[in-house]
Amino acid sequence: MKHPPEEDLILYYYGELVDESELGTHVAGCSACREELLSLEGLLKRVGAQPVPERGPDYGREVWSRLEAHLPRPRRQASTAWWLVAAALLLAATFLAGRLSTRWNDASPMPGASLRERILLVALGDHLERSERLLLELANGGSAGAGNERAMATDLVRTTRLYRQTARQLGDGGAANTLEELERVLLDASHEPETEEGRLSLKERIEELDVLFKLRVLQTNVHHREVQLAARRF
Amino acid sequence: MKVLAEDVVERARGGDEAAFRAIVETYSRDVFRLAFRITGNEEDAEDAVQETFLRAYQKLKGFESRSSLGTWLYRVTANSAIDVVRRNKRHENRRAPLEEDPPSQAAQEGAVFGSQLRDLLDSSLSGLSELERSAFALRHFQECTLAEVSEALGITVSAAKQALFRAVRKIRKTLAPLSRSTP
Repeated sequence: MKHPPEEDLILYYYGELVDESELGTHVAGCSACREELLSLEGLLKRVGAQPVPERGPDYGREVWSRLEAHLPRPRRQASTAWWLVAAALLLAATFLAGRLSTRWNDASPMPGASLRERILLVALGDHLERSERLLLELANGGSAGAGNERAMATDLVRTTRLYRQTARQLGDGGAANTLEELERVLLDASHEPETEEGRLSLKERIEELDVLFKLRVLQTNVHHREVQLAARRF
Repeated sequence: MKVLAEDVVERARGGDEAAFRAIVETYSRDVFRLAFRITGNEEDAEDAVQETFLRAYQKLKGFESRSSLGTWLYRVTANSAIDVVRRNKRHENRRAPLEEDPPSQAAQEGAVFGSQLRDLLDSSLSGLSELERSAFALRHFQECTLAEVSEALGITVSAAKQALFRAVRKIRKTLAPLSRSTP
């Protein structure tokens, strides 16, 4: 066999040569080609050893959080009812985002606003309670059908996102962060495979983020606000 | 590259944003690695990651072969990374064309065990054309087969081979002194 061309040595190095045995035999008996192949290997291994900056296990979530706001969303063809619900939720979140922080404002709003705020607080409280129930069920490996849990999680994700986005826009970082973590866990729950391993993984994430505790803190804030408003009536 | 459940890909194609999020979270690190290998720096690689997923979101409905989502994403990544490199002049400023400005012999010899070694290797990669760099990154770093490289870059297998050959030749030419000075 003639000395193989450089192209064949490159293909041989990458395991892409159709007939490796012929070249292998030649290299074994030809010191010049053996040296050439070793030289090529040495250099390419050096190139391959150069590290890529490490990205942590949460990198995918970081990418998503940066990406989410820029996604071109198609026009929804949802029913009017959906928009009414969304509008109500946004109104609720508008009220709440400024009030869930520790700076409670006792100034009385315009007449009728307290009643409206109470109704909306009840709606948010109900949402948080439903979320807590689902997370508890998931954390305890509950017996409800996985399909039901997924459907409920998907349903809760949308509402949580609305609250979260509004809270963020209005500068209530604490509430927004808790709602963001809740949204992440709910998203995970809506996608987790129906396996024991998937359930365990989800349970670990719920515990790792301590999201149940944070959710209860938020619920407590909502409840306190409800009590405050109720006391004003008397 | 990791593999997602088929139903997730299907749902994402149908416009399910939550499913698309699962794709982003699953493939981000792989996409970043390839983007970094092509762009050569973290800032550009991050831009390319962002652009990759934006494009993927817009084009996912046109993606038909579920089994090669990873390869399809590599293609989008390579194109995005190349575009980012073209756009960013800062990258051009860092380029040291191989033929015009090779590292000095002294620098090569002194670089063997120092941080300069990395610079020398980076320099050898930045001397490659966009196609050569992409083909080399896919074959060498991502360990794609030449068939996958051709699919990812939208070229024939023969063209992928030629791009790889040119890349390796250029790299060898830049780094040849290293192989003579070290075991």
